[in-house]
Amino acid sequence: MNDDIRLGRDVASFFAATAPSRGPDALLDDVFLTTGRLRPRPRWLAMIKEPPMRLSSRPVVGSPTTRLIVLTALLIAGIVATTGAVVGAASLLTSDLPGPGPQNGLIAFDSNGDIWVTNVDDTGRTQLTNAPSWDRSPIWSPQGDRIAYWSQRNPDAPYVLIVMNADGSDPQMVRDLVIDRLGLSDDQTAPDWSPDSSRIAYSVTDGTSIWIESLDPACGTFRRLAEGSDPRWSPDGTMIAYAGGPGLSEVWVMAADGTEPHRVASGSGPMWSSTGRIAFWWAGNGGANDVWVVDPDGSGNENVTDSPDDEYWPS
Amino acid sequence: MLQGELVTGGPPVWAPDGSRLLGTHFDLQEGEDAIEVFDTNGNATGFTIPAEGHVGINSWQALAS
Repeated sequence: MNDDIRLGRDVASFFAATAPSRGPDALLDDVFLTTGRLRPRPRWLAMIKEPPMRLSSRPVVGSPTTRLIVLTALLIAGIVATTGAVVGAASLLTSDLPGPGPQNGLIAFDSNGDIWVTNVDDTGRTQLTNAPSWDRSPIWSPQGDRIAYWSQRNPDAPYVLIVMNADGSDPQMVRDLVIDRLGLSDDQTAPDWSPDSSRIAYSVTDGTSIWIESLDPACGTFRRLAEGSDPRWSPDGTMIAYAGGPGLSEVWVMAADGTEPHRVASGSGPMWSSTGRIAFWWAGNGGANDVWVVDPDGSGNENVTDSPDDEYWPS
Repeated sequence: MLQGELVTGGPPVWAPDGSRLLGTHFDLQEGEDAIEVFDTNGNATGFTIPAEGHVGINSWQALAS
């Protein structure tokens, strides 16, 4: 037997000899037996026991089932009323706030190196930029609250991508890059907003190769997606169609994050339809350029114009 | 068919409601660049937006629904 066990036994013997061997109820019973008084309810129990139930004197209407139904109905009505009040309050608040941005159907265009907007009847013409730089190809965000455009400080300077508010305020350079254009048109290098306006895709070049980037205009972070040009977001924002392959003469599709790039057809100028197909132009086997459509997986490729004339840039 | 004179350059730009189209009219000789507005049949609507020194592409702002 070791010392710890011996000590434990000594302590237990001490408490057994000195501590009361009966609980408080038994002690109280001894007192009341001695005094001849009735045993009251121990006060220490009053702290932890509920008082006895009493019958209510108020009349109760209906059976328990009826009362349950009424209570349930009242509960549901309360929830509905509360929800309606919250939704109504939110609607009231948002109706007083400006929307995501002006949606006035204005046309944005460049003229002599500045960005302008105007109505379709050319009323309300407003100049939004007036800088020494050469600004071009303004593209509205889908929500109509911002405009992205390319700007070049001088003919020898690289292009930079700028995003500004619909009224021309707060222009922010979101991408400073080396873009030589290499004979590319504005259509090929134009920025393209994702449907939710959270990203902008565009093509850039360092003079030796051309690639597509996707940029977050809120913070300016970007990532390189694939070799190619003419990036176009799909209507649901999950894919990007672009010109790729040798001489940028093929239509390719990739996921919005740049994964799963795949060739879908020969041709140029990819443009999504609202139904999720891709239109492009292609000269086929040496004939005239026609407009074709194809599914993003490369299936269903068909000539939809098939005329002796040249057709380009389906939209 | 967009039937405006010297309409060229890039894809036509649809109005947000699909009711009209923009085509670009470059006239490098006269410097009278302009943006032409067409209906969906390709006919000129008579609206022309002068845009001297126009080189890029245009876009049409969303319309409030």
